[in-house]
Amino acid sequence: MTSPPDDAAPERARSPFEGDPTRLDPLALVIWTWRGAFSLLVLIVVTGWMPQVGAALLGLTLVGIILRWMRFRWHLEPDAVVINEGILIRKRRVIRRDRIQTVDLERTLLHRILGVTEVRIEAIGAQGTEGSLVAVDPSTADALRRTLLSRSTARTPVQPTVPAESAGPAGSSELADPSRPHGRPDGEPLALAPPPALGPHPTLVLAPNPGPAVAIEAAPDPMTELAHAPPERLVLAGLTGGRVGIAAALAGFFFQVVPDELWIGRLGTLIEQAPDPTTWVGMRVLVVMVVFALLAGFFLSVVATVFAYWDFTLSADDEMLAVRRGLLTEHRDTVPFRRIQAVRIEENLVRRLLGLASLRAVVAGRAGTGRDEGTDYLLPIGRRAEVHRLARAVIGLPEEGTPEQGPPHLHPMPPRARRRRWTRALLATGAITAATWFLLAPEMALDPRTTTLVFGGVVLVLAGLLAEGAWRGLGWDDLGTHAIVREGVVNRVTTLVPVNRLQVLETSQNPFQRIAGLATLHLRVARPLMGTSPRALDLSLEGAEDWREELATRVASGGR
Amino acid sequence: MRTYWWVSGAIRTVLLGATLLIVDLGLFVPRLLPSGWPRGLVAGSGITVLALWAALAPPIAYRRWRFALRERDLWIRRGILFRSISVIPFRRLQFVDTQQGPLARIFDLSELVVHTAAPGTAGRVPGLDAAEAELLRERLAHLEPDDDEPT
Repeated sequence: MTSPPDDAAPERARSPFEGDPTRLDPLALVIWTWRGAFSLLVLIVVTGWMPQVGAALLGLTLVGIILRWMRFRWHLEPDAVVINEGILIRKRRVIRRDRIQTVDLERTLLHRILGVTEVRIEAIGAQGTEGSLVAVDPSTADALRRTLLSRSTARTPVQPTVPAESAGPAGSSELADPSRPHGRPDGEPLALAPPPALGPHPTLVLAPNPGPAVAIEAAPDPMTELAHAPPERLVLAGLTGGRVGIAAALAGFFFQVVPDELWIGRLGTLIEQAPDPTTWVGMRVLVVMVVFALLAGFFLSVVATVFAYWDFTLSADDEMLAVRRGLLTEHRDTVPFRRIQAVRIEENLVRRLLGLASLRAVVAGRAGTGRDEGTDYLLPIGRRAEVHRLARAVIGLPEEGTPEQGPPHLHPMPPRARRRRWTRALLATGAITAATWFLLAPEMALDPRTTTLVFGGVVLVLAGLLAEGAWRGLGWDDLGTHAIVREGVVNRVTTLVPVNRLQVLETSQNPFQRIAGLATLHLRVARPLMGTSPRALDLSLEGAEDWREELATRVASGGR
Repeated sequence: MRTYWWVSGAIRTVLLGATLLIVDLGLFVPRLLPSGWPRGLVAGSGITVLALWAALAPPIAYRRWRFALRERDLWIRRGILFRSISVIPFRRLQFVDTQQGPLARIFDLSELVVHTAAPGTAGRVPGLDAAEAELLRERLAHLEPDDDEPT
C-alpha cells in the first residue's frame, strides 16, 4: 500500500493511501468487457447479425469501457474513501469511514485468472453496495480493507474472547522488510504501518510505529482461525439444509405413503374440468416430471451450497471476523464485531437429529445481495457443541462449562404456553378432519367414516408432536450482559443478543395470549428491514413485564 | 383526541363502505362477487361491522393508549385487540419528529414520532396537544445523545 501497484502506473511514486487519486488496475478493462459481453451479444443478436453493426457496437463498447477506466479514480482521505467516476455525468462519491459496515473482497474465476481482486465497500443506509473497486491488486485490496475497518478499535463494545495470537498465513502477502519491528505492539491490532510520506494524514496512523522508513506490503492477517467447514460437511449441509431438503423429504414421504387414488383422483377431476382434458396417462407423466424437477432442484441446491461455501473458513482478530469461502468465486467477507447485533443458531429438524447446526450473524444495515434477511453465515454447518461455543465466542460470552456441554439450558416458558399450543393443535386437527370429511369423503370408495377417523388420528398425532416440540423449543435466559431466546420446532432458532445492542423493548399480547395470560417480549435491535427481531414468545405476562423493565434499566444505564 | 379518532374513523368507514357498496352492487364496475349471493348482504354486514368498530374503538383506544416519560426511557402502551407496551430508552433515540395531518390541524393535535436505530419500530404518541408535542420533542431532542457507536 505504500508503494503503488507498480503494474498500474510504474512512473507514479505515490499511492491512493496518501490521497492521490488512482486508477483501477488496467485489468478492470478485461473484467468490464467480460461483464458487458453478454448484453453486447444480446444487442448484436437483436439487431440481426450484420458485421458492420456488430463491429460498431463492439468498438463503441470498448471505447466506453476505456473512457470509464480513464475516468475512474479513487483515493483515501483521512476519514473517507473518495471515488470519482463517470464519463458524461461525473460523480464524486465520498464514503465516510464511520459509515462503512464491511469491506468485502471478491474474486470470481476471472479475477483469479487475472490476479486481481474486487473490493466492495458496504455502508450504512446504502441500497446495495456503496462503492465497488472492480480490480485492485490483492495486496492493495487487503491493505485497504484493513485500513478502512480498523479504525474504532478502542470503542469495540463487544470484546470477543478470541485471542488473536497466532498469525495465520492466510491471505498474507510478501513482506518487504523481514525484520519488521512492529508486528503486534503489545496487543495493539496490527494494521497498516504508516509509510514515510504519510505526514499530512496523521489520522491514518493506526499502529504506533517508530520505524521511519519501513515500507511493507500488505500486513499479514494476524487472524486466528475459528472454524472451518470441510467439503464433506458442506455436502451434508446441502443435503440437510433449508426448506428444499424438508420439501424433498416431505414429497418423498407423500408419494410413498399416500395412496395415489386419494389425491390424484381429486386432482384429476379438477384437471378434467379444464378445457383441455388431460388423460390419466398424462397425469402420471406430469407427476413424474414434478418429482423429477423436485429432485433436480434438490441436487442443484446441494451443488450450489458446496460451491458457495467451499473451504469455508472463519477467522478473527480482536476487532473483526473474516470469512473466506467459495470454490469458483472466492469471497473474503469481513464483519466488524461492533456491527454484529446478534447471532442466531439455526437447527432444522433433520440437522437436530444429526447433531448439526449453523450459525449466522445479524448485521445492521447489511444491504448486500444474495444474503437473506441481512444475516451472514458465520458457519454454514458444524457440530452443535462447536456452533454454540463459536456463538458465545463471537458475541463475547465466556465459555460455559465444558466444551461438549453444547446447547445452554434455558428457562422453559410457563405451562400455559404448552396448553396454548395443544389447544391450537386440537383445533387444527378438528379443522383438517372436517375439511377431509367434506372434500374427500364423497370421492372415496372406502367407508368415509373410518377413513376420516383414521386420518384424523394421524393428524392428531402429528399436530400433537408439533405442539409439544414447539413448546419444548421455547426458552429464554438472561445472562446479565446477554439475553438468549429460542423458538421453533421445524427450524429451531436460538438467538443471542448483547444487552447493549437492544434498541427498543416491547411486550405484546394478541387476544389469545391475553386469555392465557401470556405475552411476547420483542428485543428490537438495529436489524435490517427484512429480518425479524429476536423475541421471547409466550412468556408469562408478569415475567415478560419484569424482564422488559429489567433489560430497559440495563440498557439505559449503559449495560456494559 | 377521542373526537379526532371518531371523525377520522368515520371518514374511513364512509370510504370503505362506499368501496364495499361498489363491489357488492356492481356500480361502475362489474360485480366481483359470486352471482348467487344476495345483493347488499356483504356491503350491509361489512358496513355494520365497520360502523360499530368506528363507534366503539376510539374510546377504548383512547383509554388504552398511554405514554409516560420515565427517568430514563419513554413508555408507550397501546392496542385494543393486540396490546403492547414499548419501552424506548432515551439513549437509543436517533431523532424525534412531530407530525400533523390536515384533520389533526383542525383539532390542533399532533403526533410525536420517536425513531431508534431499529427500523420499523418507531414509537408513536398520537393526539398530543400541538404545543405540548413541540415541547416534548424539544425536550427529547436535547437529552444527552447516545454515546454508543452508531449502528
